[in-house]
Amino acid sequence: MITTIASVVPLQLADRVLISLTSISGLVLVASGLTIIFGLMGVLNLAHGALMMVGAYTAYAVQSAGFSPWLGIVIAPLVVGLIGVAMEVTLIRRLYDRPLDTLLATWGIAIVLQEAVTIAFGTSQKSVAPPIEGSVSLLGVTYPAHWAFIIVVTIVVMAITIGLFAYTDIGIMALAVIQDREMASAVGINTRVSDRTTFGFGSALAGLSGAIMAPLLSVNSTMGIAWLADSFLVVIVGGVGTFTGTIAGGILLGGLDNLFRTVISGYTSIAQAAVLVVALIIIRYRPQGLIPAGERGE
Amino acid sequence: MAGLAGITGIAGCTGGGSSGGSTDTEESSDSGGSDEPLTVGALYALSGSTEVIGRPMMNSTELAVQQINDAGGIDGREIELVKADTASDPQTGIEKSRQLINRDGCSVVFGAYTSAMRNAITEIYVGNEVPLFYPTLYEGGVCREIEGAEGFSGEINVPQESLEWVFFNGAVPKQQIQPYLPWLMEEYDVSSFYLIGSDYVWPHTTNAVVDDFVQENGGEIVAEDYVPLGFTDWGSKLSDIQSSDADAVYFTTVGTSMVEMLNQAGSVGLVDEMVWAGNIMSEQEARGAGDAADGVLTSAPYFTSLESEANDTYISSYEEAYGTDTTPNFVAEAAYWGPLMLRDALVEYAPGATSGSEVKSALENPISLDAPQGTVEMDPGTHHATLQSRVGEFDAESGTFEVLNEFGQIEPSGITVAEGCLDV
Repeated sequence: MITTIASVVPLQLADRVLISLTSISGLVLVASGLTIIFGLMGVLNLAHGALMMVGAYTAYAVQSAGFSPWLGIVIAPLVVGLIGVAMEVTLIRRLYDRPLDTLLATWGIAIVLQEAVTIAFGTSQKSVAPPIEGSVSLLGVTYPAHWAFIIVVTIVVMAITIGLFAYTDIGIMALAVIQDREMASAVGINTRVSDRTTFGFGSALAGLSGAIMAPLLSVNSTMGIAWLADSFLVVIVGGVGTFTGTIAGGILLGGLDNLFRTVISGYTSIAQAAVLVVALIIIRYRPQGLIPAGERGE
Repeated sequence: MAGLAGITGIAGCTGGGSSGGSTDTEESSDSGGSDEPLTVGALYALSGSTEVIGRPMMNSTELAVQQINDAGGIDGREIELVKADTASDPQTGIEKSRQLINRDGCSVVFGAYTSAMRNAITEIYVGNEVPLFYPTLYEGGVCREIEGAEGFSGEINVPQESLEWVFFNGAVPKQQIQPYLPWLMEEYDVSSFYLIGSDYVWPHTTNAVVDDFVQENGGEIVAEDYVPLGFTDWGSKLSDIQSSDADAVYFTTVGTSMVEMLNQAGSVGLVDEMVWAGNIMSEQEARGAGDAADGVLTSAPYFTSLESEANDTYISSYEEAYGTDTTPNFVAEAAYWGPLMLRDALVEYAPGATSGSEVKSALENPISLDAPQGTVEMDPGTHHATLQSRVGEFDAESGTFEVLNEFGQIEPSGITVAEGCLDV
């Protein structure tokens, strides 16, 4: 009864490509904060999904207070960035050399954030409106404007982030601190401030991704857990410690997921399992990921 | 009609007067038994993945017990409620069931959500001979004789369970689908359906029933498609649905996955383009999807928007006690009238009951009750309830369902519940 091989006509192909791009963008956008916190700083942040969730709730709170959805997208990264700074100052700072304890501490923070949101907003799922309603015409396809917006935001965010770490003093100093804390300190960089800023920035990206993705998702206190797993997968398969790696990981996983689900459209579970098999094979033969971090500083 | 008298007592009590609750006091002293409080358990998810539905269920059971006690209990016997949290985890559900029965001495327990939870804990109740009142809609399956049941030509393989100690007051597929699908096909002029569901037993069984009724009414199933639980990224799947050219989507996706499906379908304009209908969406999920769920149809025994005295009492006392942070829905409503039915059964047949088997015998009577959804009856032969059946259309602005049609009372037996199968 199910068409196993979807008949792919050109218009449909364009539609599928756009849908895949939105999927990939969502994955990359949500994973981008983790690229910084886990990829660059080496902090196994299990609160990443919860930070994304707080971003989504911030967008909800701003909207339900009667403000524009755009304001939510601006405020979410600020709120979540501040939560990130607070996390760094109180806990993470003491745990840079203790990865296993970080695992427990960040999971604890995730639970605290989930419960805090439940206390503040109740257990019901929330509905968040997109900042742009309506649709646009892309590649001859009528496409929801918000879905196109996700692609644009992801490209812009990744470009800015890559630029920030490659070309600005703050970014380069942050990389120096991550590379060799003592040496950076010896040349006069305030490592405390640098760590705090980097962690806060990564958290802010998680908050931003939550606010942007919220209209497509079910906003509830546990929504971040699935995205936490996906984000780690994207970062690890793509290559820990590089932004291009995260993009590659997102393209590979999101792209394959959509491709497999289109080709064997009646068997979603099998298609999704196949993507995980591919991810496992990649990690087996390229443990450093698709685009491994180079030996920086040499 | 002890049921009707009972609920009038409650309504009267909260409204100021009182009459029904105390009329049978004589009988209680005559029939002997205990005057000690009856200990009753409530086992719902107060944490974990199904907390969102577990809380209104727990609140509703607690509310009913409070109202019963305020109206004089079971002929003067107070009901003592012991609450337990399953944490949405079947293993915890088993432990808490043992605690409720063996430590707290519960004579009957209200609880569980999802078939996985019920399957895990059923044997504890069978082994200890304590009745379990299960308020969730589910696939049915008390007896195996399903093939060739009246009005159903398909074959459904359902697990044979040891269910003599379970009482079901949620809907089985027949009660939601039998009158609903022919109505849907005629009223909306749809004949081809795309069935999309979450990949577990309830959607599969429900779709088998849907399939049968669609074909019987001259319709066609274009695809029967399942996604894993928790499926999030609906883009490609919505393209499949769109290009199938079906007239209607019949969805049996559950929880957050359903909300995300509707959000994304609304986003691409597919909710306006096709008829979306199902029988699992309640106020909670619909509000979670907001504008995207506007106009989506669902069949259920109960909607919060119903206008009746019993429902006004339920909703207003619920909101007074628990505020509006949690939303009652058709599962919570069943968790509410379960204790009321227990009270009526005990008042009529065993006012002094203390043991699980005495409670069970009392419940195995044709008890009728004026619940918020309307008149409901327990069928002793199947331990399932005759329920109301109606179709509602979600209105995003008010956050409630507008009732489009009332199908009246539907019996549980037939299709996935064989008639009289527990009579032996």
